[in-house]
Amino acid sequence: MLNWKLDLRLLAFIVLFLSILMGVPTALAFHYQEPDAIRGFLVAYIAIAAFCSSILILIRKPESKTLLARDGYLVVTLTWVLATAFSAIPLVVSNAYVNYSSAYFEIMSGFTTTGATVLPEIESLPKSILFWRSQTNWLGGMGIVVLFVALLPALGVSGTLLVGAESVGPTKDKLTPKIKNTALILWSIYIGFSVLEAILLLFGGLSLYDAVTVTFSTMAAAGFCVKNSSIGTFSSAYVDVVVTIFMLISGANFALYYKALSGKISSVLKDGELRAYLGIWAFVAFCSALYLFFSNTYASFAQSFRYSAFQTASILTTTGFATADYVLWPAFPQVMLFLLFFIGGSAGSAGGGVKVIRIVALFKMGRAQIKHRIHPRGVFQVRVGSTSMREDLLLSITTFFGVYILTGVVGTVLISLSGADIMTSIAASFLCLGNIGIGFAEVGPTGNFAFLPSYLKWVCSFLMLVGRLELFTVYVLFSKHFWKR
Amino acid sequence: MNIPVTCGDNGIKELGISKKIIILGAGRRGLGLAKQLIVDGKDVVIIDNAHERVESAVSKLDCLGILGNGTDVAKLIEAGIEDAEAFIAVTNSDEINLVSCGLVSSTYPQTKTVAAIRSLIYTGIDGLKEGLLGIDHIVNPNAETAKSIFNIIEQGVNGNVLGFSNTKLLLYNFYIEPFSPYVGSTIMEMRSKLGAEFVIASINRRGLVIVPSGNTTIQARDTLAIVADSEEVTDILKTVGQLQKRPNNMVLVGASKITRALLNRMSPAMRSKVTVVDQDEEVCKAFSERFREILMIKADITDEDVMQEEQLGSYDLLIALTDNDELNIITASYAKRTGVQRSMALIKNNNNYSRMASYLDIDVVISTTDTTVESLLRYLRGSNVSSIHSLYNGQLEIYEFIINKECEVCNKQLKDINMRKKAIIAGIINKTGQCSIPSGQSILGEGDTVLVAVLRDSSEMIRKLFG
Repeated sequence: MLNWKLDLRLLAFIVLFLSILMGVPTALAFHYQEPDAIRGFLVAYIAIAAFCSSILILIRKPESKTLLARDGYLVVTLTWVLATAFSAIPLVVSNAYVNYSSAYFEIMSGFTTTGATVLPEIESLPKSILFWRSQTNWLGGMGIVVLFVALLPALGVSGTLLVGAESVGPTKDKLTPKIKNTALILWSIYIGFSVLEAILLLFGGLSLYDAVTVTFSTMAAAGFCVKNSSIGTFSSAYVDVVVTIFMLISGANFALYYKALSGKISSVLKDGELRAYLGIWAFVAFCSALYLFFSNTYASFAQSFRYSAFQTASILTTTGFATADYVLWPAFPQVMLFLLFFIGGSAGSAGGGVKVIRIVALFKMGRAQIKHRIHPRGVFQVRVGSTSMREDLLLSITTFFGVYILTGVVGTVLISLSGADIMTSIAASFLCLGNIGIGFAEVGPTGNFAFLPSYLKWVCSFLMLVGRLELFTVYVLFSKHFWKR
Repeated sequence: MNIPVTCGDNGIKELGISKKIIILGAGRRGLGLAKQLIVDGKDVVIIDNAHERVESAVSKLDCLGILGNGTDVAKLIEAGIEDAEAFIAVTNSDEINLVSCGLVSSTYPQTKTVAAIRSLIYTGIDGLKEGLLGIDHIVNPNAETAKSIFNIIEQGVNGNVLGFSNTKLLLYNFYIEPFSPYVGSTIMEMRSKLGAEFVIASINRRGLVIVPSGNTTIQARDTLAIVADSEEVTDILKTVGQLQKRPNNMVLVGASKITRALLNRMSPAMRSKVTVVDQDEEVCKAFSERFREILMIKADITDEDVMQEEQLGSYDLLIALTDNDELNIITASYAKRTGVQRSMALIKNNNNYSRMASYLDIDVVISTTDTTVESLLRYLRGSNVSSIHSLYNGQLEIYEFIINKECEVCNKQLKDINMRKKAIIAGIINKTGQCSIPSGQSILGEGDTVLVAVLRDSSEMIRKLFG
């Protein structure tokens, strides 16, 4: 049975912990003297204080500290739902957003590193609110619960189940014997890269505020930007290159950086998923660049490559930045980008989507199936890189892909209820599910989600959540068995 | 088990450098050991060659799992053997354990190596004096179990009776029957009713272990762990009508390796009161050849005629030691119905039975896994903890600490030591070997040995307090 008391107390502690992190934008609101934003943050603090104190006072310490797998699913899902609920308060109280569903959509888009927005114009928003929006990107990238497990003793509870339910990819790699240390290492690497990127962006002439917010969204493969026309605003090749590189960094498995740091570089270079991931990026970027060049979309090949490389990285890693309005490009590069919607970043990365390793495994399974038709008695192992994948893992991968597509299709149908055209519906559904943030047609690089009626904003928020938590962490909560036995 | 003092000292020095312990074999022993070590704050890496076992270890415990063979140096390096504090081989194969420990100790001599070896061929009957292949410590599960059973027989088979190294104090488990006069009274009331000096170190309330205070109320079906002077124990038992008695004659069911090791420990006089029942003729012959004093019976213990013919019901103690856990439990439970005064059952294969069997009327359920894990932990923890015992499936640990001058609690009154219901000091033995049951006013002097009962989750904290 669920350990209700412990689950609720854990939730309260995580929300409390989150409120500490909200201190940064609150301080900024005072610094920039934005009274609306200050009011927003204060109301959020009051709500959090009321919630946490009522839980911590009403619910006494539980006798048992045992967490089952289902407690892990419940705590992680509710953490995301509640963290978003409280974090959205400043947005709507400060009148920056018209209603709560818009604010909720925006923050869910932030935490899940989607980067889709409901606002056509954002530069007029209070700076502290924009900062908070970008900061949710960064926090969600490596995982809220992971951070909590890394920094706090988590009430003496083993964090393995919590981290397992939040991390992405078909297998969960532990770097060190203790989950706490693994979480610490992952966050340290994440912070290290973030600092590096921010410094590089400062060299590119960005203000500290711009550099930090862009870094937040890049490292989390998220895509919020404090500018109306995203990274394109800076119109600097240097910034484009830096952001492209760091998007690619954030879309790779963070465990590999740890391996590289501990001197196992050769095994990192042999990693099957990393090779496939970089291969896909290079192939799509190069082909699109050639097409753009020969179709005279851009004057030079270098320029074509700059935009296609950026856009490919942006969509492959599910970041969702834009430097060009690619909806105006010819069909071929657009189709290539659309295909990337079904791939996503690597396992154990900050990116979303199906994940490269699953796609590679699916292709390899197809090949094994063909070989099997020819040699019915042959035994064919599916390998990604040097690791062969086990039967049950393959089954979970195919199931995941099936359920993923099904979820996207249902989402498409629901979004089409708003009266949007086919391409908008498909793109909106899959960009939410894959945590990408930009798509095609009305939800392209210059578009937004303002056209959605409120109830569909909740649908989209749900799609983003299930996409980020890789479907089953959320779906198990809807099973009768979860609650009964 | 003789703990080599030098090795223990090395262990303390290394403790500061590395906390990593590599366990080869994710079987019952490996998992049991890992669980305790993780509670102690160690970084545990488990190696096993079966995917399912690694998966289940990683999902149950906060440890790293590595799939591979323990005799593969590459896998050992992947597990981080270079900076490991200890390497413990507990697979089911003696040879793999020996070879892997040998590999480790030859390449990384600073790493403590521990191997579980079942076969007496490698170790001899009494265990090895000097290390084999440079292995620091060898534990033989059968010998450990036999030793533990022997001690329990010596102490009279009253539940789990634990003796401590240099004191007359005993810890003994006392089951509160539903109609016992003590149901509903607090511990303070019980103490005044009995008029004896004792400490209730813990209460096992249907699997949940608590450290009680004076106001804790005793409920029916509680099991109390009472620490008292061995003479007082007899008094306490007399008042509640249960007389402690060292078994005179006993039946051992099953002539297994453990039976052999147990008989080896006994004196010829003691052996002459032992009857062994086994159904294999060759084994029976071998046993009666090896141990001339015993009565060896070739029979199937489940056969009702055997119980009748041999009057097994008239014995003081029956110990079921076959290789079949279920048979052991049924036999031990049935024996009590036929009139055997005390019965013990051995659990070898499925450790979960020990919890289930403790709900039957079997007096002692002993598990080879638990005994081995305890022995390994005693070795690994070493240092100033002169011995540890664990009770109630490891939920409660009993330590013997020797108080030294630097220690935080030295020269303090017990009531000033805040252990927050996590631990209780159950006995004090001063330098001259005199033991006393402590009260709030007792003072811990330098050189005293204290018995401390600790809840497992707090063992690290308590060990810091005393160490």
